[in-house]
Amino acid sequence: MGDLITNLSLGFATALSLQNVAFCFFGCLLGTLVGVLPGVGPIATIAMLLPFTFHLDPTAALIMLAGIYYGAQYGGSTTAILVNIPGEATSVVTVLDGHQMARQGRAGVALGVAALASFFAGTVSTLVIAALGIPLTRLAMLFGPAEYFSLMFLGLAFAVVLAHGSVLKAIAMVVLGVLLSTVGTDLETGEERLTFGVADLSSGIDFPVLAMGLFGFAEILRNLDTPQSRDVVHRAIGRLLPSWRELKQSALPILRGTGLGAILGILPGNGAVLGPFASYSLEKKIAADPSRFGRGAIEGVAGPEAANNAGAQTAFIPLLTLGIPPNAVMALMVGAMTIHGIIPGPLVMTKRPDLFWGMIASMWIGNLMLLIINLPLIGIWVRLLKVPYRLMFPGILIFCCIGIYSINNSPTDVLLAAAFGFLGYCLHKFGFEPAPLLLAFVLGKLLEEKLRQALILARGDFMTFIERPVSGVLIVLAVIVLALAILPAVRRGRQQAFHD
Amino acid sequence: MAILHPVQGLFRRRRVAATPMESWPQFRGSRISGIERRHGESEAKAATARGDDVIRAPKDAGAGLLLIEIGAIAAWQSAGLTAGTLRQIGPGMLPRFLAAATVLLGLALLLSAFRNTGERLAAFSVRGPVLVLGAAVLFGFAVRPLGVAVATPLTLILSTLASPETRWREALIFCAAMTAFCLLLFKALLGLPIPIAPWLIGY
Amino acid sequence: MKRILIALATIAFSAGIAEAQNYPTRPITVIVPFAAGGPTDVIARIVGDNMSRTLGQQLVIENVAGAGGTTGITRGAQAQPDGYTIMMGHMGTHGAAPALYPNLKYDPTSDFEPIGMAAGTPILIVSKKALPPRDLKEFVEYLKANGPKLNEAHAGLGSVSHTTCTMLNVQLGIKPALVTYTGTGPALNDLVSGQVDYMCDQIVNLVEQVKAGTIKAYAIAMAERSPALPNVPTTKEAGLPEFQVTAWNALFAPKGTPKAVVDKLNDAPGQGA
Repeated sequence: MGDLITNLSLGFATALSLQNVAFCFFGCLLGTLVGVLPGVGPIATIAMLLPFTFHLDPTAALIMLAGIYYGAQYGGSTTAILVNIPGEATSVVTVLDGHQMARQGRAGVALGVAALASFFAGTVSTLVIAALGIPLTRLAMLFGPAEYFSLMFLGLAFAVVLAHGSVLKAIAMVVLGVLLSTVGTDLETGEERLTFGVADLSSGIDFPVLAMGLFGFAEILRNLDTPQSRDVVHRAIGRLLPSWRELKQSALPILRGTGLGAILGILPGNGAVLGPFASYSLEKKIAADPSRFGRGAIEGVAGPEAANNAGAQTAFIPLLTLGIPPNAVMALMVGAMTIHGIIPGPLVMTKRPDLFWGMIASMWIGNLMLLIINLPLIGIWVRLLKVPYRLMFPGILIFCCIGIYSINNSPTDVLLAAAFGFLGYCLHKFGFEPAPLLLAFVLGKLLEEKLRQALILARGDFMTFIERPVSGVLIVLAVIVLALAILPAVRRGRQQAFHD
Repeated sequence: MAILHPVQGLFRRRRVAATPMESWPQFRGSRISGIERRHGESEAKAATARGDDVIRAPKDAGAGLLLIEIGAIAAWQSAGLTAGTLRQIGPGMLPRFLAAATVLLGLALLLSAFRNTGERLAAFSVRGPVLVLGAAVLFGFAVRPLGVAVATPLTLILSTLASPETRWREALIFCAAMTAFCLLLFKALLGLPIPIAPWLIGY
Repeated sequence: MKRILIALATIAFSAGIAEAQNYPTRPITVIVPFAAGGPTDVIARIVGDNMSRTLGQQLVIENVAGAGGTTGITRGAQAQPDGYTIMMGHMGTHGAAPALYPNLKYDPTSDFEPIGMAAGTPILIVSKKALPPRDLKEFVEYLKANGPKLNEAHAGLGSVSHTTCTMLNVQLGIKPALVTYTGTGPALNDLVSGQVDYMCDQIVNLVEQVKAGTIKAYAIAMAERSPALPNVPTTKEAGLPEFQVTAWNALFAPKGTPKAVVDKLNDAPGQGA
């Protein structure tokens, strides 16, 4: 405990230098901006700023880049709530209830609760990293390909729970999502799969392309179909901040979300993606009235947002303690460190304690800054919703187009997003929900990769998934989650058949 | 009016709180759907189908057909890939398995549409999708040769046509302002490597 | 509104002036065929930063990842040969690719103008901590005795770790199970946690893990020891002299790029450093 305080005070002493606070602020601000813009993600921004960081002190450089990362995570939620576009995989869930709240004139409340939940989760997970980072690393080491596959399988089970209509349709969306994730060059043989001979498809479909098509474009088409529905957004704006009652309602979901997000975030290979989904499924399962979910339940924003931010934070653990980047953003952070001659590894902690603890302290400062930056912005965002829809949708469209183009500098991506927009419109007409598809898409790539790795390691023995204890537990969990989702539907179906 | 859209979208379902999803079967075969049938398909947007139709759930039938179609395309595209063995899974195993699953799920939905009564299919509109998606496609084709400075206003103007509420003067001013804003934001501020106007200034 | 228009006019005007001068008059795109943050990307960014200072134009890094780097190189090979699109290739994209990708849309020997070598990185042979052998000799015997039972990790088809370790396996005549990962990070993760047995990769990616003792290093595949890991013997010292390999990164321009432009690019990195 004494160590922790000494370490954290060293960290704060480093992070609170005027220069570092300034870079942290700049990073968070820029991160929020690119996060709000659909398509322009933290990866592109950090990559662009890398050369600039050559000339900075390494601690300042890393603090700034980390600021961009969590700023973007946060900004993504803003777009999700306001215009129904999940900019990041982690904000897919926020769309479900956050945007519904916005349509009910509760955008301010949704944004406010997201900000507070994120801040709380950020604070807790900073402490978790500082106190338990090293022992928690061992948890990550328990996860081999088999465990990973089982975890992803559990994630797919969550995706089925996520939907609130027909279970059959939800399963179909999950299958379709995984199918879309297999598009592109095969990992092991280099063969092109499902690409229709289009060269730009050989590197696979990018998440933002699919997300903006299925959510962004399709939403515009849906709104144009029903002119009377969209005006609600600017009829009544409502409060800008959550009321005491709403906060009390959110408190437990935030706590649970923080826990789930923090644990899943530690897992290498981007376990953080699962946090919000797990949190949403949990809240929906234990809610007294699950039917409120998907129609503007505040718990459906608070829990996942806390999980999102907690996961974003604890995702630093494998990088800081092992030197192994769990996702693309972290890989860039490694690049930034390498430029400064710091090769991240298990020794960074002892060799550069100022850098290590400075970064941890800066995480908390970054979260505080996000709160300071974003609470006043809520008023502006909400006012943005007052823009008449006839002007708003062309604006959303062009932001999406430029954003999509900028991901790979590929015009084909824009055409592809338009195609997905049409698919999203059809799916809506046929009563499908796109959220499970998107989650399955995100998990699909890892799912296949880990399945193949695990089976090679087990020499083709499928039992490996059940015999390995951690993996077995996860599979059992997944089966329970699926059963809970399917059984009521089967029962209802039987009753219906009976009544007919 | 509200009754005509009981389950069309999440949001509308919320607004017409009197008709939550669970209670929609109460309209089955009621006077309302009868009226709609007389008024033709266009009026009968999302109301329930009648119990005595051959296809009792047109929406699910359409959903099933869509899935079968997608699954068939995926199966065709993955036909040439080797499936491999469990010991060494090949590139074709998962896509083919998923394609088959998609087709099966589609068949299940299609069959259920004959057995269980469900919703009618809502009408597809033409103007919105064609103009909005057309605007996006236009952007895709214009951005490299013409640059953002040209592609942006073109896309904006084409997309504003999608809304019947568009006022011309307002839309034109908006296009100009938005183009300038996009250039400043994406190019000057964020420095993205996107072409501005290659035909004029070379990049 | 007025101010915005003035700003726009200024952007357009200054660009117009620049056009009148000699190459390069506008930003140069460097295609990096791998994800941002990897070794090739970092090298490209360091070299690019130096070059932009000498050339007086920004070098914009464009990451076009996929298919072991061949997606990005294909796009680069088909770009306008005007010197405004160049690419960072490596031993995988320009050496091993034709053998690994039957549908490769470029020919490494005839579709490019080489600009210059950017970096050479030594290769290290490493294993999980729990693997019994203590030195390279024992390791080689162990591999030969247990070949098909072992699992070798690599960072993807055509990656440096894949091509170099394949060389090692061929030289030793063994056929381990190859476990494909999507990059060095995830592969290293599973090596540290002991899920896989051994791998070969560029020293920069492994040095800290070796120092911390989370993985074992047997030898470095070059003539001299590396100052980063002075205790690790060379393959020559340790009894496997035939395994000598260095991963290289080099800049290429598409075929048909004017020679003057290539020369200018070739001169650029040195002066900036």
